Amino acid sequence: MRSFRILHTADVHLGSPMAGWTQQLPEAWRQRIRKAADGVWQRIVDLALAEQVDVVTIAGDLFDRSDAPMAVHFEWLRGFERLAAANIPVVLCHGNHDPLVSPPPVPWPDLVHVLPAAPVLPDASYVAPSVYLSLAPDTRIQVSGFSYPARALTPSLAYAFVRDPDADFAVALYHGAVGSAHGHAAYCATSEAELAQRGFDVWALGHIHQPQVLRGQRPLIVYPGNPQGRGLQETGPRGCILLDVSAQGAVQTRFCPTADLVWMECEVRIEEDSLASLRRSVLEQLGALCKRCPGHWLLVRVRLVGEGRVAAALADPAEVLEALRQEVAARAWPLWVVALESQVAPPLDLETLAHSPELLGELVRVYRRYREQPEAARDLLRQELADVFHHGNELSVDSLSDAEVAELLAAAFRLLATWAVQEGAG
Amino acid sequence: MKLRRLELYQVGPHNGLVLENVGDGLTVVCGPNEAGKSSLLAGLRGVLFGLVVSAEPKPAWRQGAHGVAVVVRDGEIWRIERSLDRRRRPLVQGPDGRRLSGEDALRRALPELGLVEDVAYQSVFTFQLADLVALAPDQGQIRDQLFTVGRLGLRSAAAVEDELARRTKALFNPDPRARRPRLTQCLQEWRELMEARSRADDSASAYQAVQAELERRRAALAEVAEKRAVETERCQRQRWLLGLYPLFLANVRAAARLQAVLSGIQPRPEGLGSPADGTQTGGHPTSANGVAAPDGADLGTVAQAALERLRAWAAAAAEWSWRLQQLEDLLARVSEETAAAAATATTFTWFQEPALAGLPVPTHDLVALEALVQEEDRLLQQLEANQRAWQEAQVVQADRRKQLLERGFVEADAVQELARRQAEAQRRLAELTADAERVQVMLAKVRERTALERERAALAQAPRRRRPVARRGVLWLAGGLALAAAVAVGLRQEWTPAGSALLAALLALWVAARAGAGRAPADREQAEPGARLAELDERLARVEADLEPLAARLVHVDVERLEEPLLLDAGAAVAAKLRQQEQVMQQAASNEQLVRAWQAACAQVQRMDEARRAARAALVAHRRALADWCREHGGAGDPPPQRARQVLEEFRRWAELWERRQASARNLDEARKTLAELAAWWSARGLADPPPVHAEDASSLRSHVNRAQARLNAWRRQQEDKLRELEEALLNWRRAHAEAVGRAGGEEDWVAASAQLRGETEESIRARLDDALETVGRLTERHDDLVKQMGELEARLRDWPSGTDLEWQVAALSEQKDLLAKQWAVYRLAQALFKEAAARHEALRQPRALRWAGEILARATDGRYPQLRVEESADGQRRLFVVDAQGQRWDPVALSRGTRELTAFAIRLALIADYRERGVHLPVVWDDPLVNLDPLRRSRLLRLILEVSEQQQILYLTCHPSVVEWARQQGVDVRMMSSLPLPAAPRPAVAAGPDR
Repeated sequence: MRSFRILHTADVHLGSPMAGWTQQLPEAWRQRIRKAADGVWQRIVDLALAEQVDVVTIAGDLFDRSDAPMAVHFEWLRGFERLAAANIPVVLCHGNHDPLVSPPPVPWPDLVHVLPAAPVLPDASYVAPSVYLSLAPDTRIQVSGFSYPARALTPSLAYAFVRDPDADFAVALYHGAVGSAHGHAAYCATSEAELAQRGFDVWALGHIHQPQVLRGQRPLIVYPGNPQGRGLQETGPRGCILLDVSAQGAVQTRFCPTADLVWMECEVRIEEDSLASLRRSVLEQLGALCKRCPGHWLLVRVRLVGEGRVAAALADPAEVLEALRQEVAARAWPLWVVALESQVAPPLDLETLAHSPELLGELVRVYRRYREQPEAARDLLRQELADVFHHGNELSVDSLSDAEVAELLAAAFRLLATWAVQEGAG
Repeated sequence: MKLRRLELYQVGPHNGLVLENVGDGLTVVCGPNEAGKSSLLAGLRGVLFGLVVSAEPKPAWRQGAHGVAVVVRDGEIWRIERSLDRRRRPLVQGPDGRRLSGEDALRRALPELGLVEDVAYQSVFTFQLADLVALAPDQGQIRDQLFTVGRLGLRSAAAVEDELARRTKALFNPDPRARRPRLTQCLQEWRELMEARSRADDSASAYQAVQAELERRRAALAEVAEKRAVETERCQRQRWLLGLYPLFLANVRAAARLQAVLSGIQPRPEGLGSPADGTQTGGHPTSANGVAAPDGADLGTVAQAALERLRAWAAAAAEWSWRLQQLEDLLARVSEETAAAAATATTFTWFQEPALAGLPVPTHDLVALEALVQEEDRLLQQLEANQRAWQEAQVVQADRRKQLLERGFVEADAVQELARRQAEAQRRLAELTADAERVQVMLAKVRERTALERERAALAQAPRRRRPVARRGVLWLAGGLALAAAVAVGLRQEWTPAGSALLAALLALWVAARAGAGRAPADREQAEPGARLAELDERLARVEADLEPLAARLVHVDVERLEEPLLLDAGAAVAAKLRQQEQVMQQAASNEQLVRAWQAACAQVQRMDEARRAARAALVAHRRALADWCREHGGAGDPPPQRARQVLEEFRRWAELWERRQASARNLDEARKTLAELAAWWSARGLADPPPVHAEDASSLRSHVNRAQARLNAWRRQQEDKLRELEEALLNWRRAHAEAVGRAGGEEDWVAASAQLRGETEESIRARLDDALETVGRLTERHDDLVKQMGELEARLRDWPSGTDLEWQVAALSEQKDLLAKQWAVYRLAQALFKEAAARHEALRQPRALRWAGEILARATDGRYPQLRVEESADGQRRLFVVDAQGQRWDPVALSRGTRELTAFAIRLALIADYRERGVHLPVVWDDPLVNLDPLRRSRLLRLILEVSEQQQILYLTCHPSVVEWARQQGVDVRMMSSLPLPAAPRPAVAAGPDR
């Protein structure tokens, strides 16, 4: 077998917009995030051409939804045609976001191999289809996998992957949750141990957007993550996994960044109870982020945590956010602060206040009661927020996690407590 | 403090004792209207607190009004007297009879009066039904008692709630009149965007459907375009024919004219019609019977052929005319030549006309004559050359002779003289040479002698070795100086002194060198002085012996003494003489050359003279031979020709004349031949009878040519006129034809158009054109419609609603919506949290007075209104609310009058209790406050009053018998007041003011 190179990616979700930005975003930044999101596939193709890979594999979720716009189909086609012109075959499967229900509206080049859909109902005799690529007379690669037939496919299908003994190298494309789902739906959930038993050399996974190598030795089990972070839930560098396979079958992985724009989270803890030190801390951390990600545009959410009288000054985060953006702009950093969350609480002794006959004491008692009773808190939210949080607005209290409910309550309490301290101080 | 007695003067209807022995508990004072109940109430307030109740509506007292109150406090009786119509200090008389004056004294005596504000006493302790309009007195003390509620910082609960409500509503307010709440607006935009997204079907199937529709439109467009192209072609064809129609008519007319011209030249070609025929028949110009369409190719060919023919004729006529002109000129020249030849024939010298008449010059004669000419030329040249050489030799001979004479030679024995001079010179040179050699030998000998003498002297004396050296140095120095002098003189080009100096220098140097060379043997010989001396002497003798003969043999120099300087001088003299002799020798050689040259010149003169003579003789012989040749060839004349070239020239002129005569004869023959050809051409064209040619001489031929020229010119003009007419007609026809062909787009198209235009009229063509235009317009409209539809479809495909754009907008708006919703949720939750906390706080932490008032109200209303609550509005205004059994909060304004008065009464009862709890016991006087209550509530309240009166002195003023009856039933002290008329004149005051 000769050595070869595979570029593996997944969860491109082409055509889906980034989240976590609003109309307040300047036009230049809008263009950047549009370019970053819409051009990610072409950047992956550029990478494949530059690295002269032999095969490109895509483990599902090419589209964000089945009825993706034609522009997205054209974008995929353009990249496929470029790869085909370079004689680079592509093997892909569809994931839960883009189940394979119909052929693509525009035919893809012959070098693009789409793995057929798995049966909707569990079938013990089902064998995952394979594509065989002959890179050389003595190099025959088996790429196995399946496409989702519907949006939800819960059972593990690892059993359907059968290693061909005649193949020189075998790659399994698997779109599903292996181990922890990391907040994603547990589709085709399976475990490393189950995958390791199937005899494949590489398990090229998809579905989990966080890049991670679950197993570094044979078989290699790797999530490439999505190639471009699409919101504040997908922070940090994003890219593809380049697999260098030696003539002896040894696999070396290399993470190749493809994200033009990186989402970051910046948590700043109040150390000294003054706005000046807070400003200094925030700018220091933002500067450090810029140094850590050179050559990238950064979209950063700044979260202020801690306790201090400065909470009163942070009562209106919009003003602070605007000032912070001006500071960043003055430094010409490639960075945009998308949001500023102040979780800074006023310096209150809640234990003492809980026994106070004053109104604030009563407020503390009420807040603590809801904090200790999540269901009561959720009921309160259902009751109080019903005007806005309903299906018509695609907002639901039930969709909020307990942590989000608790944070909403905490934010409300912080607001009142800040007022109490602010007024008292004044 | 309890009231026991009250006296009022000039107050209302009272003017004296009003009450006496008033009990501690409840006392009902009953009286009709105008009995003075309200005056009693006002009077008691005035006595206790003075004229401070500015709110008193109408003072019930008159001038001089005053009052006296006797009160008991802690068992002590105090008497208070105060003027009521003027502000005066009260008088207080204590239990011990001590009299005090002033407010302070009063407060000190009765501290309760200092603990209660006068207005509080007025509104709480002593009030009428009308006072219950105000729910609660709003005085400082009472406010604290009633309105102390929870605050968040310095912000009231109401302000907090209001701020939260404001913020909440600023974000979300479904009221359409609200001023742009951000979340509401965002939700609205988001819904619209979502609807737009749902409407924008950007899926692949929709795209393919549009593609299919576009293909259908494209096919329909192609069909319409094809039809339109056909119709447009038809339209253009008709328009083309319409445009060609005038040209067609012009072409017909031009062709008719051309045919007419052609018919004048030759028979009309078949197939060509004449427009004149058509017009003559009166039919349509292009009708099939009237005018045949001009066949461009045939008519053009025929016309062109005719034109070519005419042009050929014209060219031929022109050529003939030119030839006749040439002929005429030729004949003129022949005449001139003939005359010239006749004149030339008279100019010959030796060969007259008869001699050569009519005969050509024989070539061999001419060659022989030319040979004679050449021989004559050669002889003449030779004679001339010999003559010239003879003259030159003579000149040289004279020059040599002159030189001989100049050098002293005589022409006769120049050779002998030369030999003599040469011998003398040779002899003298040999002598001088011998003298020079001898001098040199002598000089060597002398030097040897000198050296020997020096050696001998050195041997004989002390070695004086320096002398030879010094001498050698002197010699080297002298040689150097002489050499320098020679160079210097040589530079001035004075060769003789320079040569002498050079010789002297060479000599000196040679001597010096010799002296140096001979030193070494001399040195070696010093070893043997004696022998050496002898040897030297011997050698000296030999040298002396050698010198003598040499000196005697000198010829040209004399040497007095045989010493080296003299010898040197003699040598120089001999050398000078040698140089002189060498010059003499050179002169002798030159003389020898001159003599030889003179001899050669003499010989040359002799030879040239002989040659000159021989050449002259040869020339004479040649001239004789020429004369003989001339005679042999018929030459005559006297004297006979001297030069063969003259004969030759005449002979050639004669040959030339003969040639010219022959040429003239040939020209005449040529003219006759040309005229014969003209006559043949003439007759071939059938123009006229050819003129006969009979003339033999040039002049008659010339006149014949002139006649022929005139006839030819006349015919030529006639042909040229026809040619011009044909050219013009053909040009017109061609122009019309070319324009038509050009407009038609080609010959074939024009032919086709012509064929189509036959029998057509402009109206018929225009009718078809209009029909085609209408069809094209209809198809164009359909075409444009389809193009527009296709453009729209293509635009839809090109600008296919990029779902991503909409998605991005939705994403941005959704994020904004979520953020605003979260912000709204925070405010709303804060509102809820605070509301709940405030409710609990208010419920648990309301002022005591208010709680009691609530309890009183609850009891009076049998639990219907169990609670009173004070709330503070955002602007800091505190307001009382009545809370019903269901917890609903009621603004008292919204309650019935009775309930409102009951509420106010309950509040006052609660406040009195609150004062009492704080140790303030003041008499309470109510003026019928329960008038508007229903009997049930009134009875409940009266019972309550009765209970309160156990701890509180209460004077209940009423005019209602029911109350009196109730009081009597309850054993309450009832005092009756009657309506008393006012006294006519006021009584003098029993109590004097402080100023009295």
